[in-house]
Amino acid sequence: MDKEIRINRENNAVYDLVSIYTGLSKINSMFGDNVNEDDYLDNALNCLRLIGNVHPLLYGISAESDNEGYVCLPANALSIEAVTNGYFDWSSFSYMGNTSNFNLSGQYIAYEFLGDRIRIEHPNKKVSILYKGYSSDEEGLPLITEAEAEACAYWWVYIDTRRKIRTGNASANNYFQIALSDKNKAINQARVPNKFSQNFLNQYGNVITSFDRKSYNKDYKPIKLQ
Amino acid sequence: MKGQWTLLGIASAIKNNLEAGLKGTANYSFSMEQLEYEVISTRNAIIKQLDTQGILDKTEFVQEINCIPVDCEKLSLCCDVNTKTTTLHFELPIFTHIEYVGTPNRDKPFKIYNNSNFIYNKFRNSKLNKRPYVSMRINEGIQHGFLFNPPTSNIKYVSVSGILSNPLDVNKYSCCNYNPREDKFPAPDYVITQIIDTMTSKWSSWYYRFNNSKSNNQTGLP
Repeated sequence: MDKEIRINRENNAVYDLVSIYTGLSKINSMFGDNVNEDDYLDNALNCLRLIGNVHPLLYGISAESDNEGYVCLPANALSIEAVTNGYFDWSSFSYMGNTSNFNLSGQYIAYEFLGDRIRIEHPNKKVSILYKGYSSDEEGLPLITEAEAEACAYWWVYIDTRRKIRTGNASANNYFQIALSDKNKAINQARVPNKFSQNFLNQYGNVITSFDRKSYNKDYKPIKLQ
Repeated sequence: MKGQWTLLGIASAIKNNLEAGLKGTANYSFSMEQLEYEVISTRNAIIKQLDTQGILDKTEFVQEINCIPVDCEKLSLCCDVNTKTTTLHFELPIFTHIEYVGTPNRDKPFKIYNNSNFIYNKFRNSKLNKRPYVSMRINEGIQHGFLFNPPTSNIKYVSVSGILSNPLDVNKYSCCNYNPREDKFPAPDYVITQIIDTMTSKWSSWYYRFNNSKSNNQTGLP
């Protein structure tokens, strides 16, 4: 559990998450288009799903179930790590959340994950929930990297060009291939981190070399990453 | 204001061109009101043409209305339907393209759905379907907007900017005062030149043909 968090966040070389709206300003500066904010957000979320990057953090909340046993989760929840009937051990609970191990006290209790909430058997009961969620802004929209914002901008232009072709725009046909290749290039670039830290490479290299050493008839020399 | 094309100025230019060209050959009178309306419809035709060619810069035609009052109205827009449910509603003149609908201080744009497509908003991404949205419908020459998930419960005005089908329609609102004799016609100069050229050549060719058809006795032929 903790290891996965380190892979995603602690071994990042730079903290470069920006608002999802950064893509809007990029569209304006790169293409001069005025885009409806909501239309952009619809398409940007589609684009992010296509890129497939997730920037998760581990969060912990204490809450009380309602009369029917439901507990609402924050909007950024992706998956549940643990639900217990105890409280967080504040001695190891850092305000940074991701820098220390959570130590849930109490017993694990059975729950049903319903997407935006969980249901437990006990009404009006205090529970501690450890969940994995993406980094989000105050609206619940994900924070993204600069490369992802640029990919969202190119994705918008691709969608817009396709729409223009459907409405009979003569010049959009000529531009379509460029928009398509730009979009694919930007999406592929967004999948690669801007910079690898030594910690990440060390971890990545260990995985590869350990796999190689277990293979039959393979070289035992460790792989050197450039 | 001096040095810029007004609606009246464009209509007068076309009238002068025609009268100068037809001097001595015909004696026709022109209705300025008709010319003004034709200038507006020629502008709309040119906008459509530029849009199809992919070279339209919409910002050069945009007008805005910042004081559209919001009231409550039935979604059916019909008094015979027995329903008590009303929705926040505002009326607009007909826009050919809407660039912004939202709060007057421009901090909250609304998503726009045309016709009845707004019923699918609930299937939008769960992070976005609580945001404000409007449904636009044209009924009896008026564009009706129905506002859902308003940003504040006591919203009184909305602001709209876009390309109006008739630029004079902004005068229906108290905060707008577009004077066709003094204010610049909402089109760039290259479009205004195209309007004058198109209308002058169209009308003069009509008159030329009508004038010839009156005396078509084959005498002019070699």
